Amino acid sequence: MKPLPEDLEKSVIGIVAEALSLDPREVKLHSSLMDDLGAESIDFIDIVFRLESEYDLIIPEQELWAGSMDIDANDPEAIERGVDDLRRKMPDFAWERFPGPVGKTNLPRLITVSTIVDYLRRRVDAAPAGAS
Amino acid sequence: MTRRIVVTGMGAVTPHGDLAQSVAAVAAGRSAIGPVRSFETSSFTQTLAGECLVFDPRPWFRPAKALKLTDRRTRFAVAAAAMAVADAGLDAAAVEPAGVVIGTSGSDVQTEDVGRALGGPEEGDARDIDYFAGRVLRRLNPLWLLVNLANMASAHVAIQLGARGPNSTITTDWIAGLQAIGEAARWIAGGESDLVVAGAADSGVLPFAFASFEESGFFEGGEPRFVPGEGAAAFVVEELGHARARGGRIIAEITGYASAQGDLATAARRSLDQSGTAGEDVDAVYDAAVFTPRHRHLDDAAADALFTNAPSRFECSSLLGHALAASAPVALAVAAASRPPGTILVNSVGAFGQAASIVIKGRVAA
Amino acid sequence: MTRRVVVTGIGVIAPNGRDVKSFASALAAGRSAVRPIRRFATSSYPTRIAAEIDDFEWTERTEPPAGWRTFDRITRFATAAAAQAIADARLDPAGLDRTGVVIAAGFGSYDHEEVFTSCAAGFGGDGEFDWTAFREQFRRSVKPRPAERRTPGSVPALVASHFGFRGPVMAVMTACAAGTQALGDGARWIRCGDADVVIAGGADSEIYPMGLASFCLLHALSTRNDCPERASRPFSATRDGFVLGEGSGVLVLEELEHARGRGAEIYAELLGFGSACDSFRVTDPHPDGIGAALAMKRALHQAGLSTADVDYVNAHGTSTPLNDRIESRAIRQLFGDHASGLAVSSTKSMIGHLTVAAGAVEAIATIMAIRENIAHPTINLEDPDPECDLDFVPNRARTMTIDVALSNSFAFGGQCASIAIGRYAP
Repeated sequence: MKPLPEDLEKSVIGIVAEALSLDPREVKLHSSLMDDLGAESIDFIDIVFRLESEYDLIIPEQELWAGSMDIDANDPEAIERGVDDLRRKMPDFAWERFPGPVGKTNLPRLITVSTIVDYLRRRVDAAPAGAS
Repeated sequence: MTRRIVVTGMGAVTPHGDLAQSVAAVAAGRSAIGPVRSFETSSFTQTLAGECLVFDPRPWFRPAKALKLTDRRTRFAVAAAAMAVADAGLDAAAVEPAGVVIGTSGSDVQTEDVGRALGGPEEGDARDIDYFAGRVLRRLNPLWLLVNLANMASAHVAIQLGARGPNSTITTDWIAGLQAIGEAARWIAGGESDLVVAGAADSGVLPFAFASFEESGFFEGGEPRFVPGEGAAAFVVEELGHARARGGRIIAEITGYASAQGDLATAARRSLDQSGTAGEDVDAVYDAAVFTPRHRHLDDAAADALFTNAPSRFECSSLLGHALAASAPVALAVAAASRPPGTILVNSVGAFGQAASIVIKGRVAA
Repeated sequence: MTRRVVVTGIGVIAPNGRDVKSFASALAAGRSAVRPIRRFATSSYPTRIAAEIDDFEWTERTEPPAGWRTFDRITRFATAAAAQAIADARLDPAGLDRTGVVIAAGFGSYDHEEVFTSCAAGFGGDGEFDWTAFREQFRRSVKPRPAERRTPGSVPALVASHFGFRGPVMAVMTACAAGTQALGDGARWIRCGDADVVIAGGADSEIYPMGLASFCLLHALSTRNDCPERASRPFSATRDGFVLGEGSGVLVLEELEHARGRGAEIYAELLGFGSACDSFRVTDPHPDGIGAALAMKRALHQAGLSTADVDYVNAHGTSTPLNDRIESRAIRQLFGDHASGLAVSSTKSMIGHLTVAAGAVEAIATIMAIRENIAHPTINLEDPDPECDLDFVPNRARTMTIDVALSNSFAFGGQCASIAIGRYAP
């Protein structure tokens, strides 16, 4: 893994914007990739590929998305506890989309640009010192 | 009661531009053939092609990211289909139940992307599957399959138009385009649809296409030498009563269609019989000809059996290049848009002896 | 007057059987044919399992087509299944001007060496692609004789030429819907009078290095490598993707009076065909399964049947999280109250996904279900997904009367096809 760029937020926004053919100014940290930016399932695959190429790392399937909430996605109560944490962490997110419980199948809708930034930072922290 | 089938809209993408530009250029005898720009052809026997250099796909795709899932054929198909729908004056509600069928001879493999993912021969041997898979799985665009699947042409046309009718992609080599138009007529005749956007999109200006043409002898055999082309043509094919009820402009009637294995004369004869057209009533014939000894088309003997007179032949691949499965449909569109109304027979043959013919009549009886 | 279309011959080359009898009995027994991939090295792949056909040789009673040894896998499967179906129908293969051929032939099976060593040769490492090196490598590795150079349209042409058919000929390629599409196209030729007999079906193998890689790249495949037989688990809560299979299914379709006139045995009747497009996204199905529901509805409409007439649905049932949920929803929405009375099963639970050939092979499974009054099971369904709430004939075959059935196939691209098949009654 390469050292992350200083302005990681800007770099990730650039990658997401390019994958989704958007103007980077339309892409905010709290933008839901699916609901706000129109990403579909193959776009997630595309974005992961671009992140892997750009930052020279391997992102195991599902890790990026599960990593935002360290929970068992098959436990409905755990999901809602994780969502409560996210509500505190992402006040700018359009939470009015979820008047009721979020539920397992809606979890991908919670993935934002920040989710990716946070994941990349955690990966750097977890990497052994001096490892490239 | 027999349902009659008419053409009510046309669109095309050729090296000359759209259909109107192509008609004007062909009428003026202007050639679009030039040196290939998209890859280096100096090591091939043929270095020229009819390439769609001015075509810009961006206006035809919404959202813009849809473009990353398309190859050249799909881009041509979507543009030509949208032009045909606009030409027919159809609104979104009229298009929603429409069928879509596109003919194409195949797909490319994105040569440069795959080469880049694999790395040069000094890095490893692509025949070593461990090496190959390691490279491809880590470095190839993960959407590669979706770009290359042949059916993406008709899928993207349907998505961009919002068409939920029957949908198909035909891949019978070079007859696929003419066959798409003919099969659309059958969908309508059989009552599966009232309106179908049918056409063809193809490209012979691709590295593997060039390499295969060279090895298969397409570039041999003196002059005129086979010149690959690319492009698309699309037609709004409609049931006559449906077209009249909405006040559609009727361009021509499709009165005969047949395909056959092994013999173009058989396909042409079947189409003319269906059409109730005697050979001498044919005003013009178009053969999507390939100038190689191995791909002889409607030969003189077959023509003698079909026609007592010698109908005029028209030809535009010498000006546009041979756009493979799109060649005959492009010629059909150019002919229908430029000739005085008459009866036209269009023929097409594939490399394995597949043959298809269509008869259209510019004079549509009440 | 409507021309009716019946099935008078069946040929099948499948991972669990190379003739219709063994295929049907393996399905009824609920046996999985999924194993570790043996044909090439898979240690670099996340998915290392598939339903393969081993040691495939020509075993039909008739002579193999000229050039058989040089054919690629897809052409071999198609010509063998066609020979089987034609022999089964006791068709006289000579000079049938009104016999057509429509085959859905797989998109892949590149000649690995020819394509990929050429691509690699062009990459010089300095960013510029070296087209001369590409061209020289292609020249060295290419196999130039026409019989060896499969194109997307060569398969039906080779079948027609080998058996001497001079009727209409067509290749269709609506990806994973294509096998069903080919049957619908063949039936239409008969209804419209283009042909009296049509050899219709599909053949595919995506089990080769690039094929496997291309589906792995899309995260479409199950990675349950440690228990291959349990990897294809349509409609279960723990499904994680599909499993590739390979093979071919070919039917002899025939106009009813033509078949009766020559005293042919009739397997079943093709009652109707429906095609539609989701017109939504390239891989995600429409959330309401619009295309799937429209295709089934159109097949029933052409058949002149209502949903209440249907006894059994052979589902597309891929074992991917999204497909199975949306297909269940589409069936429930279209069939309403009758959905609970339907038996629905997935052939893919046992033989994996035969991609372009799937619809043709699954139509054969459906015909045999009607013939033998046995709905084959959906295996590996111990933990049903609450969002897939139909009767999927879990794990064990069921004896039941099946007079009318649908067989579904859906594609990347949103193309959906469904065919209505019924017990033949004069």
